[in-house]
Amino acid sequence: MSEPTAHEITQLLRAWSSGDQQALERLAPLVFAELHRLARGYMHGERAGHVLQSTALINEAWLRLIVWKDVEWQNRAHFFGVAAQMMRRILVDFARERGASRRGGSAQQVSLEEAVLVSANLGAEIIALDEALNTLAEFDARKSQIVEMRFFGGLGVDETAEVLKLSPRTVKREWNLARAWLYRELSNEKSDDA
Amino acid sequence: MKKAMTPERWKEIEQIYQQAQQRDAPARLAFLDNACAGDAELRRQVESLLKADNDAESFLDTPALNLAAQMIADEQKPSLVGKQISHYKIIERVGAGGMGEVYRARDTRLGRDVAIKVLPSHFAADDQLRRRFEREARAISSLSHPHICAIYDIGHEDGINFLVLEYVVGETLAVHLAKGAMAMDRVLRYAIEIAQALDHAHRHDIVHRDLKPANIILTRSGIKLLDFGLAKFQASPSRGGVIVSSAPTESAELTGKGTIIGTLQYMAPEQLEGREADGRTDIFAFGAVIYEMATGRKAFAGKSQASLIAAILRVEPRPMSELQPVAPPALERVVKTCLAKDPDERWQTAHDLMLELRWIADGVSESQGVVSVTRRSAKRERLLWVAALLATTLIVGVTAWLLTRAPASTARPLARFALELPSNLRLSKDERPVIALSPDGKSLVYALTNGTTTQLYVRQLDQLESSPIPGTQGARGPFFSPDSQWIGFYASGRLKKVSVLGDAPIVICPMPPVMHGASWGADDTIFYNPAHSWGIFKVSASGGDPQPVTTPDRSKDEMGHYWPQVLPGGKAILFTIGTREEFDDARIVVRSLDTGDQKVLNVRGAHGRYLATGHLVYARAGALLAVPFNLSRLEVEGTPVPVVEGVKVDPRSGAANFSFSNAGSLLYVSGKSDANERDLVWVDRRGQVQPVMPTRHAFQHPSLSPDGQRLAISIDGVTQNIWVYDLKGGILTKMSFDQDWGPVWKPPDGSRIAYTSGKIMTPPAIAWRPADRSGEEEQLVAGAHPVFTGSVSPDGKVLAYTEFFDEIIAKDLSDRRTTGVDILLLRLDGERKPERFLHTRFDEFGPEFSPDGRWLAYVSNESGRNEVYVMTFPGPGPKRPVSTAGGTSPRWARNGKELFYRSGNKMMAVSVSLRPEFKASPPQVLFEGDYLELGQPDSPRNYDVTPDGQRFIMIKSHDGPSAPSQLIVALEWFNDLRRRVPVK
Repeated sequence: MSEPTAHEITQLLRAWSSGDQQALERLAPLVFAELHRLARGYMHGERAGHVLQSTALINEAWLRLIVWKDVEWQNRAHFFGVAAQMMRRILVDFARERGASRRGGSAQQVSLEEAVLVSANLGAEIIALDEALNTLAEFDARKSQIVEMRFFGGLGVDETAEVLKLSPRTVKREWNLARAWLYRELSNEKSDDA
Repeated sequence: MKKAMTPERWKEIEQIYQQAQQRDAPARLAFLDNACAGDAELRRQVESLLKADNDAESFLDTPALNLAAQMIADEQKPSLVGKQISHYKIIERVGAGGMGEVYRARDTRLGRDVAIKVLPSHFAADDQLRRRFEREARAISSLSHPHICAIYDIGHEDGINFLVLEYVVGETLAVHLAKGAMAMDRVLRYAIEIAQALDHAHRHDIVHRDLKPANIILTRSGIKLLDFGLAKFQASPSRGGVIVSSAPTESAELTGKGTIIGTLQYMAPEQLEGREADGRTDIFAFGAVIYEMATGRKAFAGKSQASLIAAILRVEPRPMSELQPVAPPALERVVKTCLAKDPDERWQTAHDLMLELRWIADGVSESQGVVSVTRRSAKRERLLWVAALLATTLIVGVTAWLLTRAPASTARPLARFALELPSNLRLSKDERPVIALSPDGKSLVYALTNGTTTQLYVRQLDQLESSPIPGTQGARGPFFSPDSQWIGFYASGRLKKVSVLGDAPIVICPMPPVMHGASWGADDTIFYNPAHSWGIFKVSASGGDPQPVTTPDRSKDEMGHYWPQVLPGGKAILFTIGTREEFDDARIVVRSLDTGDQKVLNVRGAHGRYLATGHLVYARAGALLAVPFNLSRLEVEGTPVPVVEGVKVDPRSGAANFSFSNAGSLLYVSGKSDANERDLVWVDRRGQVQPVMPTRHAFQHPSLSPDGQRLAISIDGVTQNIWVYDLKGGILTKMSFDQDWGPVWKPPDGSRIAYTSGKIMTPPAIAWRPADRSGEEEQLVAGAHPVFTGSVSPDGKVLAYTEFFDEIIAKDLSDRRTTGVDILLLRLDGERKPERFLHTRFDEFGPEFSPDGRWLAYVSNESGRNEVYVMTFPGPGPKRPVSTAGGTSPRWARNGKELFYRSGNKMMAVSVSLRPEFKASPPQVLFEGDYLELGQPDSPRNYDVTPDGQRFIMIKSHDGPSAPSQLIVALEWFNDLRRRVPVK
């Protein structure tokens, strides 16, 4: 695949944010390319630890796609917001395609390792999280958005704060509660199913 | 169906949640009680969110893009399903993890299902690793135990390395625990099985290294332990849970070569520190697993890896009983011992542990729970004590169950036993009681010393360990509030209180440093004696100004009123009158608080205490005596009878070391006081000892005159005073007459002696007077804060001293707004205006001028413990550390070439050169011995050195024939008392 130009991606994101659904379809391959690049890294023995260290990695990924100085967004914040939203859509669709329609598949009957997370399960987690985020948005849109920025958009606390025009301290506090709520929501679901 | 959350309700929840987050656990409960009062659902919401936050660990830490990439990586791994490896036909994939993929397979030869674990590719690449792994796997395959998942085979074929394991059907304990705590009988059953499995493996020298709920499978026939000994080969850690994760995520740093393997949550401190794992490492993990089974909570948790590691290394888990009230205290103790940070402090074998668990399990099934809340408190207390006793039995040196000599056949046997003190600590020597038992009988507090520092420790009776109470360094005379929630004490010149739950001590009121007794009344009024020559005062436990209650009648030769006790109803107090006579003949008095009428009781002795049994118990001649006491008429009825022999009573103050609970247990210190029996000795540099003077006294703070001819010293008697001893003539002369201590000579001629002076109802001040008693005392420093002598500069022009600059009212030591204990200077020749010299937020004390006056040695706790430092004088300049392993009481050699200090029982010497720059050699131990050393900011140096630097004057407790002090508990002692001294 030839490297997309920064201009192209910028246009696609902008088109998508103004309602052009087809733009997403054209953006998705770019994201998948990045995904596969990362996946290759994992398969070649990069430690999970490296991955976990780096929320910056996402930014790195995007920075490779977008040349900052060319971006004509109203601001950097707007761009990240849209990018996070897009990432969420693409990744949730991706998980759905893998056939992980719902959590609690057949993977857990016999556990020879903890948490036995095979791919189907992971996909299910992402879908469940997406649904829980929608529920959260119904009574606390801001927290839902903070999670979207951080988890799907890969933004750090400071960047999220900048995007949402909040203090980093507020972001931290809200993230903490949102995370607790989501964790509770997903764990309950798990044990309800059991 | 769940009700939909409304934004309004959510705001309410959020507000309380965020406020609760800012509080630590004990404060949080109280806060929630209050904030959610009447709204159980609100509380449930907040609490479940707090719990979720606590459990969430690495949840959502990894961005979605990376997770998705991981997912792709997983999928692209070749699957073996449908293939045949050796004689195993792969049926389906059942899992994947750090150790590789796991499949269910059919053993075509034996016709049984097995699990096949395909090892990661790096095993294939590294021959050495593979061979080591095979060797280990063979060893493990020799294990045959019903609770260990067996390894059947190990092999490699077509570049695939694999293990063949017993195929186990069941749920992991990790999955099970996600639902919460388990019933106690199941906890014990599984725990016993795990202990059996560990015992079997350990006997074969195989250590699990990664015991955790995810490695424990619950099957119909009991538990199965997986992955014995494999953890060390787990080069690439399991990714564990990804979004909703029960496994912590290990960072690259931690999983780097040969460092840490396994799941952090259950890792023992020694593993985290990269030290060798042994069976006791598994025992630690096992403790954490039992804890989690019983409470549903992880023993250690942290929001980040760093905080989790810190928790494992340093934090004691919350007591299980707080989370799970039905947990037997004995189980709590078992788990606590498993979780000891030091492997030597844990259970040493899984076998012992298994026996202990069985014993508990038997108790649980017999009594349906060891602690039944419905039982009478005395009975419950007995059980607590029994647990404490059993805990003691397992260590060493127990006076086990001693039955009373009493012939009564109907009475319960009286249990009396000695409690072990924490290792390396001993009861502090003090003229106040050093122990107190809580009224509810659940805990005891004692003042313990390691030879350098005295501190209060609290011990829950159903636990083996004592924990130091933060902020109580130097504390003396502990006493409990009636609700057992607070401990009052005296420290650094103030009456303070500290919650048994922790938190920083709170100052109740300032007072001089002697306190002969305090009693906390039901109405939160504390009655206390503030000074040796004073009466009883009262003050509200929440602070305020003390009010006098009694005044010693000098015409009747009364010195002071000591050891007050508020009688039930709060209408009268009991106290002891000190005179110049011995305390065995002291009077015990009861005083009505309404009328002020005072009645001398018809007994002679000290430290009287009224007991709920209707007795007065008091000390005389090293025994406790009891006599019936009529509470309405406030008088004794009958003849006193000795009930306990060999109780330690301080002859200087009449303090008797005994305390009892409401339900009737007695705690006391046995032995004889040696307070007045100290020898003053010369010790040379090799530790050879020679006597200084033939008589024994309660010596403290020896200080040699600049010419080395005279010795100034404090001697404790009815009051503490400064005496001067002429070393040539052998004459001891008293030179101060109030409460004075800590003498310091004024160089260069030794014409004056400065000392700390504790006048009645004022904070300690500093005064001096001519050494030849030719003139009056002159006050040097006095003010709102206690001050203590230090050192006078060689030219006699500057006094360096220590001030306690604490706030009067509640303060948090970790965030104190004052500078704590500081070193100040006073110019003696000019206008005597104190100047603050060293004033950091740490404590600096014990200043000592160098012989050339250009340096000041002192002690600071800035590193977390007391160490000796040197700083240029008058400075400012950088400070130089001198001691390396704790140090107090610095003292320079007069030739300026050495600096001496104390480090616990050791006398240390450091060679120094002062010009052109300060240089110090590593410290050397000169000699070691049990010589008096308090090392507290308010306690002056307890040694001195001759001008030639060859001999030290030291204080040694007289090794008399008295029995060693022991802490004795007598259970249900009230019953014994009632029988022996019947009350009509």
